[in-house]
Amino acid sequence: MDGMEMSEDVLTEILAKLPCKSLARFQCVSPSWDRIISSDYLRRRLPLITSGVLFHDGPPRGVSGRKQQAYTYACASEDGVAEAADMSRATTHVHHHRRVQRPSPLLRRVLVLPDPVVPRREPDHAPVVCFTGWLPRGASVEVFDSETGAWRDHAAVDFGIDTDAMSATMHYSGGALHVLAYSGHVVRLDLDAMSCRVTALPAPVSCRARAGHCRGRLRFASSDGARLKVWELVKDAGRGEWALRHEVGVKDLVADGGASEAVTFLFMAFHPEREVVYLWAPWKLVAFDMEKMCVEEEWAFGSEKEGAHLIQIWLFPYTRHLANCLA
Amino acid sequence: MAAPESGDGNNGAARMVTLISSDNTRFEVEAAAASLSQTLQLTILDGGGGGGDGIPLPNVDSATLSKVLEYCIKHAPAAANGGAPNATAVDRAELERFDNEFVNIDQSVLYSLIMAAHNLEIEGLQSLVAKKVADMIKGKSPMEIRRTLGFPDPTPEEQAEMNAHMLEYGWAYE
Repeated sequence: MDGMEMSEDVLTEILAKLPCKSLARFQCVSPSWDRIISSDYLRRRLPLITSGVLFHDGPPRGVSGRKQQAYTYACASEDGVAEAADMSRATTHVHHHRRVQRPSPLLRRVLVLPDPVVPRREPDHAPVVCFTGWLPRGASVEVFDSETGAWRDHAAVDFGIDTDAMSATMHYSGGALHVLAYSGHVVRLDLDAMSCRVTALPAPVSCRARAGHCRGRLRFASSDGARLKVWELVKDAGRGEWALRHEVGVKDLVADGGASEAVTFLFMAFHPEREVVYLWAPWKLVAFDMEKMCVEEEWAFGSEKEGAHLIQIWLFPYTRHLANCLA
Repeated sequence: MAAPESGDGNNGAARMVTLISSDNTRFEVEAAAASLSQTLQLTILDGGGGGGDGIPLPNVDSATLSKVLEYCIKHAPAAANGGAPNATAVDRAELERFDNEFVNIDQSVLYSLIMAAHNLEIEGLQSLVAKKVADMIKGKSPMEIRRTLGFPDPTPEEQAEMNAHMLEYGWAYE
């Protein structure tokens, strides 16, 4: 097709048939390709499920000197099964997106984090939850079951609290989706029964707050950027009882005590079985042992630019145009 | 396929319309087939294109138009059945075989075809050709795409940007 001028409509038509991996690559063909690939229009035309897995299949401990470690991003193939994902390590997160919709300005994204994971070759049962419409205190929900390969519709799920209070921070574990709410609650949505239970949290919910599971118990992490507190739900029935398990400050993280750096960090994930949390401090991912209060492992990323990008990948594993609608 | 005036198009046979390519070749084709084109459909419904009139298509040359019509004629029966709910598996397999064969053509023809399909708004054909082109380019590097499209070589700045992109989206280049 040398030198031919292709109308933008035609080009869009073609791009819509490409897998996301090619699209990500073709962003840099030219500014106009980038614009089309990043456009809302194309995003709506893309196939239903785009899912990605960001995981770390780190080298054995002690391998140092390499600035950039092996982080792998795997795209789901068309039938929704992640390809080539060796989930042998703990920092595994799966993000699923169904055709991205924006039904509410607040709960804009369709995002599920299945268990950060036990050593297994494949992700086990990982449902995709899609909120298709909003009610004042609930939503209509579609759930994709990876075992049966079918979507189930639920017309009206009652959250038990105002929908506007719900945050977009979610965590999936044991057949239930845990959603943090700005009212200071965590809503446990049981995906089988489609019923919700609301539990009060021990600290306010901010954008840095996260829910997760460790040793089968729900945990809540809250940080102000300088100190991180981790609670565990001790009694699950009715009124939740939380026990403060850990508290860690920036100084504990900076091994050399160099407080000169204006360090802040973000909580990323719980280790599912050990008292280890994964934190994102600028330009490095840190595995911090909460019992020994020391950095167990850290993975530095090359430059500032790449470092900044990790956050983006973490939250929005697809390309910029997905990020646009999720951000 | 340049159709001579057959005079009697109307004795119980399907209604015919005449399309005129940019190089003035006349094509006579069943109205049902031409109606796969959203653009032509209204004109045809209004009774246009019949008799000696013909519908001029100034953007489509005869080589491309004959190819487009080949597609339309093949797909018209299924389309008339409203997506062919009662089509047999054999029919569908045959259409699929036809489609695969149909797009197995030179790049430049593909390009003319997708432009024509776009202008004439023939949805199935647009989608078919777009899929073919996508399959052809999906494994290429951005540089190869640029060359294929005849873009000038990147400036040093553009090259630097491309390199940065490659670093940032390493997973997409594996």
